[in-house]
Amino acid sequence: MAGTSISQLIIFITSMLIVAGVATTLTGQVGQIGGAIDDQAFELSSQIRTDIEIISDGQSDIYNETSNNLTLLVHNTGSNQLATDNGSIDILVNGQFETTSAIEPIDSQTWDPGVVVRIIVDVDLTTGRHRVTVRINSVGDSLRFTV
Amino acid sequence: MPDAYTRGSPMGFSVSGSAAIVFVGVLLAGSILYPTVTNSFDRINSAQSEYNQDVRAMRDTDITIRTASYNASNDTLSVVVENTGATTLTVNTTDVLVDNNYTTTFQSRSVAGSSDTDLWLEGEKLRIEISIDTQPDRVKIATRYGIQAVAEVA
Repeated sequence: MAGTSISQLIIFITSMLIVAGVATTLTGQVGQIGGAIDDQAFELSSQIRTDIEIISDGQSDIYNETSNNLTLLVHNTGSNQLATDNGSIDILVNGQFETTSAIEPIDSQTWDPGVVVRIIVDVDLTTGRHRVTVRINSVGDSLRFTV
Repeated sequence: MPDAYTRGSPMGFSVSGSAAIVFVGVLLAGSILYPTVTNSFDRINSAQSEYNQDVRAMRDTDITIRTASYNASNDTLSVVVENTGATTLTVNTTDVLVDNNYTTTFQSRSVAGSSDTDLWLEGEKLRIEISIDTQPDRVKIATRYGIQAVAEVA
């Protein structure tokens, strides 16, 4: 009888430990899922709030043939403050990724809603029609221009 | 012969004890997940609502350049732009590009004859005067919502 009780007690403690482990894992995993949902919501809301518009005049000389650079004026038409570092803004000229030599907000320290930034892109272009795309936070705008 | 459960042995308690622990675990997980999910939905809803407001404002916004002329005698470019949309714009957030050069210094900017106001209401005309040495070819005006108008300078 005593042997049966002890074995039952061992089984009881083991089952409690297993269940406690399962419950701990469950809450831990749910906590991680919650964190991921929170991050995703933050990214998504930031993406929804982001909007930009290239206001450069494609019919004017936006390309400097002497210094081989393209000057773009981009207006923050969304409701988010945007980053102005090279890693945050992607520039594609005729589908090719290009580097920027300067990104500077005009009359402001930061790229707030309503503020325009001047982006200077170093690129060699031949005479003819070209297309430039500016992308930030998966949101972008394109401009066709002639050199 | 009574079995282990009817005798109230630890085996009987272990089943209900396990169920209770799992139940508490599920409750705890739910209480962690619920505020996160509701906060996330609120955040996305609020962003979507702001975006919808901006899109509505953008669709209601329109501007027309009535005149763009250069006076060589006093080196002044004069541009008259009318707010032909249904939104109230502001003078400070209106961008002026002269031959693709962003202009930050103005000789004067006045709405309906007044240079004191920043508000540019529907139907009102904004007059911009800029000192410039040579006659430019084109002038472009852009508003807060990205609505633009271009004109050749006469």
